[in-house]
Amino acid sequence: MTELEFIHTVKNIEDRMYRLAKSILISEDEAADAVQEICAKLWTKRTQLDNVSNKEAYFMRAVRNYCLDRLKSKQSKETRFDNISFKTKAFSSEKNYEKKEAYNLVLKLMNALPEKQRVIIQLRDIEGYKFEEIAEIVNMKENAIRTALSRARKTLKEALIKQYEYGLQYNK
Amino acid sequence: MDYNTINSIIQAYLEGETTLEEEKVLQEYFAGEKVAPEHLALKKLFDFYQEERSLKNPNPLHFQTLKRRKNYKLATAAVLVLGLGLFGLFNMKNTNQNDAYADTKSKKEIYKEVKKYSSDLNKGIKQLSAFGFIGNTGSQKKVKKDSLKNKNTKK
Repeated sequence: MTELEFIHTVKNIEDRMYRLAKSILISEDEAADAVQEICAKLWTKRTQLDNVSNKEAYFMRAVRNYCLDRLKSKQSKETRFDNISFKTKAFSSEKNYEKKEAYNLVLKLMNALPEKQRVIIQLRDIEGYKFEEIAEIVNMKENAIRTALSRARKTLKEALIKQYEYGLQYNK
Repeated sequence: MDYNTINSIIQAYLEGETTLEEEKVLQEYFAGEKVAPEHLALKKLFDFYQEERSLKNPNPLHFQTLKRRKNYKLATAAVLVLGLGLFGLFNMKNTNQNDAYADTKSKKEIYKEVKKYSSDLNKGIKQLSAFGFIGNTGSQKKVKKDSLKNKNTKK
């Protein structure tokens, strides 16, 4: 992989890498740091990446592995749930308060999912990857991915329906 | 798209059996205005997905400094190579000219010319030595002293 190819690939998917890192590490700052470090590591290995058929999947897999290692380290565990920030520019105005509430509610439900389910939801429902690509990134079989995906979607839906019905009762 | 079709796609979605195209259809349905009341809870999930997709890396990666450093190296190398190349080319031209001169006259002729001019060089040396400027340093000193004496007497 030449330097230019590397830069091109990274520039194309750095936002995806960041979002995946954020879904695992929860903290936005840690996710941004993780992307920097992963890219620095991969940069030194770029000449060995010629045989990799799907570079994007390889990079995303590197992100997941790196983030899981970070989670294992004690330091990261401590900051994991303290560092949750919901700063999103789109919700800065007061008009969007309701939207922001809904966003934070789903984010909480997402973060409560098991890591594997959360990553699979992230890769499929947010990033729109094919099942074979997800299989490459998370190192699982397609059937297992579909099962995990189905569980995650059902959990989220049921929790949201509960919240929604509670909201309706509350408003009455 | 009618309600029944959407409903069946949602069921397949919950089972993890939808294709990417079907999921696109759901995205468009939930982003639109006509969402059935019983689907409003799921709309929140799809709104969340939509919002997440717009998130960008807050510290975008920069490759500029690295690239620039490399360019400087390349530029210096290019200048060096160009300089050396021009120098070599210039030298080659000069030697070619000498060769051309050598080709037009035979070695014997050149030797004759050189001998002619070099034999003229020593002509007149004897006459000059009478003034004491050439060949004898002692006589030179004498001349200097004499000139000094002349100056003193004038004063």
